[in-house]
Amino acid sequence: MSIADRFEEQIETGQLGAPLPRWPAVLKRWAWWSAMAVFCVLGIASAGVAVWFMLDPTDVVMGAENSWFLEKILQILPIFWATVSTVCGFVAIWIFYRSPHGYRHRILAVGAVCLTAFLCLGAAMASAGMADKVEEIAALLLPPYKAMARPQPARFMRPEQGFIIGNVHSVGTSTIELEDPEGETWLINVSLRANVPPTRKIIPGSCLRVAGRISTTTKITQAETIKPCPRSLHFAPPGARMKE
Amino acid sequence: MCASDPHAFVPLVRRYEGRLLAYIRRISGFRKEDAEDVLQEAFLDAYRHITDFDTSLKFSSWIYRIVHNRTISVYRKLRNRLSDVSIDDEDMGFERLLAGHDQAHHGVEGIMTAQAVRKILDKLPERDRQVLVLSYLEERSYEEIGDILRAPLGTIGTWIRRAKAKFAKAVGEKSALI
Repeated sequence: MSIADRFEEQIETGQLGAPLPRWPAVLKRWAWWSAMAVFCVLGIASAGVAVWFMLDPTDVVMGAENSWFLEKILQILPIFWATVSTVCGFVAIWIFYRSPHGYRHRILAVGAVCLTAFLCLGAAMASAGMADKVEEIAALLLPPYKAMARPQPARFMRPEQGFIIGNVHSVGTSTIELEDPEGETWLINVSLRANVPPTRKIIPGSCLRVAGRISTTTKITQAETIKPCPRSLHFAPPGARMKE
Repeated sequence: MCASDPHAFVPLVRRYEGRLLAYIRRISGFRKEDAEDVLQEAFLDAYRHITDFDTSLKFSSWIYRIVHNRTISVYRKLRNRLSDVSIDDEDMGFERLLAGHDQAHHGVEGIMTAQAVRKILDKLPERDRQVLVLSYLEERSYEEIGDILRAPLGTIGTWIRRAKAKFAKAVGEKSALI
């Protein structure tokens, strides 16, 4: 008796039962692709924040710190966001490979496409001004995230090396009063030769980095370069960033 | 169609059972009765999950994949208990495999038996044996092999090339002994 005959017999006697319904398979497929979409979105958003941090103008500090190139890169590299993005990328690739036709593509090609898409879309997101929103949402949902940013101001507050950071207290015709994270007030002389970003407006409450000739006794600074606070201080004192 | 009418599955079973039975025996060396048990279970799996069938695949690739996975799963469990391989003496596929290797074939025609080829195949790593069987004995295209083994086309090409080289080497050694 062939297998087909045995099947026929089982059908006749009602032993075979009905095939599994279609909806669990459809639901599973939807859940699968939705999970992949979620991880892609999370990965792109994280890559966007990472790119946004990396594009931060940190040359004031970097110039003053006189550190080695790799060290500078490691300091500005937003490890947290890069890690989140990488993990999401790996999970998305794994889900893709487990999908019905995922096996048809080479892993290197899929990895390269994923990396390119994450970086390009992330950069587009950062330039569209959405990255700081993502960071705000992350800080809202993840309380430890704010704590991670807190130790940063000390790195930017080194008067003996010629740079300070703080909130603008008041703005005069050629001077700025700056309050540092310790609450000390510094008088910044802004001469015509000082390098101030032309597209930014300095207003009270905004956060600035200043490099120049600094007197730690008189607390008077002859500003050479003025820059907005680094993005890594988004949630850390001192206060709000320089307004665009 | 099969979901609403179970009888519609029977012609499919009838159409594929012979070649799938041969396939199971070729990749595993199971005796006919064991291979039939594996095949029946595989058909039952296919029937239960017929609603999951991906219409972008050929039905043959889909059913081969199910049979392949079940065979490999059973084979791995029983591998240590298999004392010797069993082949169908009427199976001409092994000669086709030998003929597919010009170098290996040269000079050994008529000396190598299907049983000897089967033994060489059985000594090859599992992956090599599978791709050689699918490519030469089952005469599946690279795309179909990719769908059955769930691997990209380029990878299948590489696997087949390596498996052919290993097979040719093994045949060379065997014929030198003869």
